[in-house]
Amino acid sequence: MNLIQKARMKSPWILHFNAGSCNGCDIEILSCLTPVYDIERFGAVNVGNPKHADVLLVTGPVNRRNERVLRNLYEQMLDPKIVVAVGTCASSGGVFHNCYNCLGGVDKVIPVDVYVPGCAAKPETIIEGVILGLEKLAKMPAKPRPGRTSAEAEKVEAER
Amino acid sequence: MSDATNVPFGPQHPVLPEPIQLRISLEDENVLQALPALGYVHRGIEKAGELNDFQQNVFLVERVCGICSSIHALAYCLAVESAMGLEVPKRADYLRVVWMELHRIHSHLLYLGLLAEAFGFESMFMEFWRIRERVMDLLEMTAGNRVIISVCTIGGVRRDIDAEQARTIREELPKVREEVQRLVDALLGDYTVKRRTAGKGVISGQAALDLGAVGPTLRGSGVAQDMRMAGYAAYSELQFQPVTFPDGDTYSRTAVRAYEVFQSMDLVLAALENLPEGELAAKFKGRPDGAALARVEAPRGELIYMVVGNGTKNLERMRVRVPTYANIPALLSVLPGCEFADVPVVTLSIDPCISCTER
Amino acid sequence: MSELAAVQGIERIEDAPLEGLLEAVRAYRDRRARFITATCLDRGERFEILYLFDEGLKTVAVRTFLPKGQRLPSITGVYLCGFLVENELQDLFGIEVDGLDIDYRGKFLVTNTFETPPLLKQTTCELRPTKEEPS
Ligand code: SF4
Repeated sequence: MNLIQKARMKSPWILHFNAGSCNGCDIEILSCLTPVYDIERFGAVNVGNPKHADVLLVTGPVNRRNERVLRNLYEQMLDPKIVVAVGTCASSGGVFHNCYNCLGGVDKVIPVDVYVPGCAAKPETIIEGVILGLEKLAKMPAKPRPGRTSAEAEKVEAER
Repeated sequence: MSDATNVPFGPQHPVLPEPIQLRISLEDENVLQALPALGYVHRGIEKAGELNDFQQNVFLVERVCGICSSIHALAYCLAVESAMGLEVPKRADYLRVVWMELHRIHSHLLYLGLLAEAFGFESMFMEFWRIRERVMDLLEMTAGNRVIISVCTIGGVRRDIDAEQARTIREELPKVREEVQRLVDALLGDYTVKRRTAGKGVISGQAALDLGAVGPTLRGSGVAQDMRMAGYAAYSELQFQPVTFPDGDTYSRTAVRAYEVFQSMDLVLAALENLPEGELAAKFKGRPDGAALARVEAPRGELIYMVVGNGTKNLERMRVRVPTYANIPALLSVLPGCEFADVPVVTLSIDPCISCTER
Repeated sequence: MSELAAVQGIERIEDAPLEGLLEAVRAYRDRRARFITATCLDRGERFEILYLFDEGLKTVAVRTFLPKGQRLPSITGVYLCGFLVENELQDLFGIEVDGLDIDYRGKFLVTNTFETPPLLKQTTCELRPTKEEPS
């Protein structure tokens, strides 16, 4: 494990996106930040900028309007990155499986690394999900050149 | 105006936990007009409510909004019960009050924390949320889950609160109250907070009524209207006076919510005190035939469910009118004239819940 | 069933013809009733639309029938706050509303238009392109 990978493990920066959730999981994610659960003891920081983030937490079943926003955020994040789908409805659609405006899960739009079950997912489960994701992150090679997303890298690759 | 600048506020914005976009036209620092762009959380729950079995819908409507989830379930159950002519046992009525008020406490504490964060009081945000966890623990102890508690069912409630649990609640709430009191004093008495909130986003009582505002937004303008006065569940038998503040600004709306926390605690304790013995849920046969409308008071205001049954297990129509939906016109009318830096705080002052609004 | 007979919880339902809708609504406005919302039901050939008002914690309603294909007059001139629900009617039922103050032109809640508006009775959820069994 080189220095960069180690630093990434010790201080994951998290971006949270609400893709049409009912808020139940969102407030649980916020609860993770507060003194009782205090996710910052793992070095995790909640950021608003996708370019800074290593972990994308997505809640909600993804609807037709925010699908584009979600894909956009994912594309903007730099590699390596992991996606954690928080909550049953982000994992599979859950109760919203027969709603006309829902696509039924984050993995219909972007690849997901960790599925966190629960409706609403408890803070403990969310923290565990992030930690599992970090283990996966540690094994990822510190791929493309810094400053490039994988899509950009592929494009450069193809042009060669 | 030609030299107006258009600024999109959202959909991803740090003070808004949910995606909503406000398209704001500015002249220098002053807001000229604000228009919402919705649809980022629209799922189509009203349609799904027609496709599901009417009993499954209880779980669906809880997920309209995770913050006031069980109140949605209550409103739906009340509507179906009145369509079917079901009589709910007394004990269930009282237990419903206990859970609804615990939910209101957690929702208002959440709001107060977010508001503190919106003007940069990070440690106060943390404090409010730390206290809120103790209410969440009570919910978890009595219902088995933290935010989506699924206690209501058609005809009554699904769980009981036994003597042991009731004792814990009775011991815990006064302690929570003390801590909240300390924080609320700090929040409402603070000079900076007053400067940031007093006189910001003013709406008069008459204007609020004309725009159809509900809940703390209306009561913050001095209009004493609260659906709990109509006396659904056990509210008619408990002492209840709506909290109002006269000024109609962000400060008043916040103060209403802060004092409602204490009121809710009193209601929980009173309901536990008078908890009658008896059944938890009425047994029923048959399916809803006929239509009914139920109005209850959610933390953000009046919540309305209308169900139209047709004698089959599926409903003909399920209509949801949520409080934020009614408060958005009021918000849009107070934003023009505000300074841009106040937009987050004023927007937050109606406690918007977007996943409710769009269903 | 082609129309609601009575609704539990609504004190009275007043029928208004389509042309008389605005007058009926204005009468409530003059009495200072608070507009709650409108509700639409798909009744085959026509829509049944209820406008709900609050009068001192009691619910009252004005009902009108709109044959499919006709345009609905907007009440935003009387109650401005009706614009949200009228935009919703445009989106979800495909009703065209005349004289709407703030008009999103059917892009209020849903972006891509479905073949038929989603809340109509003949629309089923099978419209969804992705339909894999969640395991
Ligand atoms: S998993 Fe459940 S609680 Fe979480 S966002 Fe989805 S519906 Fe809400």
